[in-house]
Amino acid sequence: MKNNIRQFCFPASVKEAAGLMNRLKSKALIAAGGTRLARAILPAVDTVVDISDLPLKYIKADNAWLRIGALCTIDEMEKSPLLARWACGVIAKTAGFGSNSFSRGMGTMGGNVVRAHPYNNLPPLFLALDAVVVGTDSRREKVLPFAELLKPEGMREFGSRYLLTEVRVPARTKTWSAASERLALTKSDWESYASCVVVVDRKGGVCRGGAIAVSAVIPRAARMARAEALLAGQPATEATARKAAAAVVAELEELTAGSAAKAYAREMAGVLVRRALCEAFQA
Amino acid sequence: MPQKKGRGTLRAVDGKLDILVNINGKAVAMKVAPGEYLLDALRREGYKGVKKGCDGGDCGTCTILLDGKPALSCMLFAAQVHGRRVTTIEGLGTPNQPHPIQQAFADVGAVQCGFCIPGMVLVTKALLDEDPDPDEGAVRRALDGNLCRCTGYVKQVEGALLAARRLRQPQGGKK
Repeated sequence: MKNNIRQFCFPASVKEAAGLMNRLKSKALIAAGGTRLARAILPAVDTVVDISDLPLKYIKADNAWLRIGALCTIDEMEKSPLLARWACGVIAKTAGFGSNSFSRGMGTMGGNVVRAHPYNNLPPLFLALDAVVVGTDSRREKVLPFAELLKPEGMREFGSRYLLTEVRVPARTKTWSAASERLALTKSDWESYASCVVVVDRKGGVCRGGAIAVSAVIPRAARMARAEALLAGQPATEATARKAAAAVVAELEELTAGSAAKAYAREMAGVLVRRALCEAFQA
Repeated sequence: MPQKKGRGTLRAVDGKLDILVNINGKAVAMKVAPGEYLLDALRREGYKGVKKGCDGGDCGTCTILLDGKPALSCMLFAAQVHGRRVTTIEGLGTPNQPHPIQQAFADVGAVQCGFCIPGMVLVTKALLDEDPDPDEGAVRRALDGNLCRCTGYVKQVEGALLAARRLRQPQGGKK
């Protein structure tokens, strides 16, 4: 029982929902899939804004973007024929990482992204795919590169002022090779030691460029810039994957302090990146 | 899932909210505290097949079907299901006329202490509604949020596959 709750609002439009958020500010919290909020609600909150009726449940593509609505469930992403064809199916595959049937069926893309816990599977995915997030404050739309969302100010804005409505992935990534890897105790275990998503733009046997995003081993999902630089113009071979993986481990050493557990996780992140790159090279 | 519009705003009067929920095919008016969890509200209303296990979203014993999809009633406020369709285990069958999934679970010996079974049966119902012919992997994946501390899940998986076979028969599993 949460005694601080006084009312529930079920807005019928995105504009109404964003307006409620801006009017009620810290007294309101958004409920979408219903996997977490009811247990994590803060004492100051007296209004639950349930957005589950909003028309934000879609996965579609046009010439410029792949658009995923914020209320799409993980299950819907996994089963989407469009996502299964996009970038070697990496979005559909990665969406279901670290979840059980309830979090897949109830959990939404928006919740996974806005909460942006280091164990969440979607932030490194969208980071690697150069995605942007779209939100609205009821008056205007705001578009933010995914990397900006993961910064504290981005999280503050999208958690309070802007209602996240969709994530857009550039259409150019559709034909790119991609793969993701994750190390955890079990498949459905939400907590993981390390995870990564790699995306490679290659022509024939040569990489034209690529993106490597790592999470779990660091507090926020991040791109590994120095390792990415080692991919450009290089042959798509295991030797290239090994060099990039070593660069990831070196980069992570600068980002994480050196306990034995973290050293293990860093080493495993390198292994995962190497495996993912080899898979992407062969796709 | 159908988009529902017009659920409006629920404000507490004398500390209670009036909600209207379709439970097991019947419209049920309930008075709930605004911060009350659906699990507690359902049990108070007599739906004791919804079990209180971990009370924190980890075990799956409080499973209901919300608009036909499995959901954890301990993770939802009761007011969140205002205007929606809830199915509990009481909506599937009775001791004298069990649902084919319940009968299949009993026939293969899937039930030991029984505490996790209502949740597993409901998850199986949702799976078979979507995929009438699942393989073992699909069943195991569907049941991966329902913990059983008595067994190794083998019999429940067998029960779900047997139910699927029976439900695919022309008489729909009815004896």
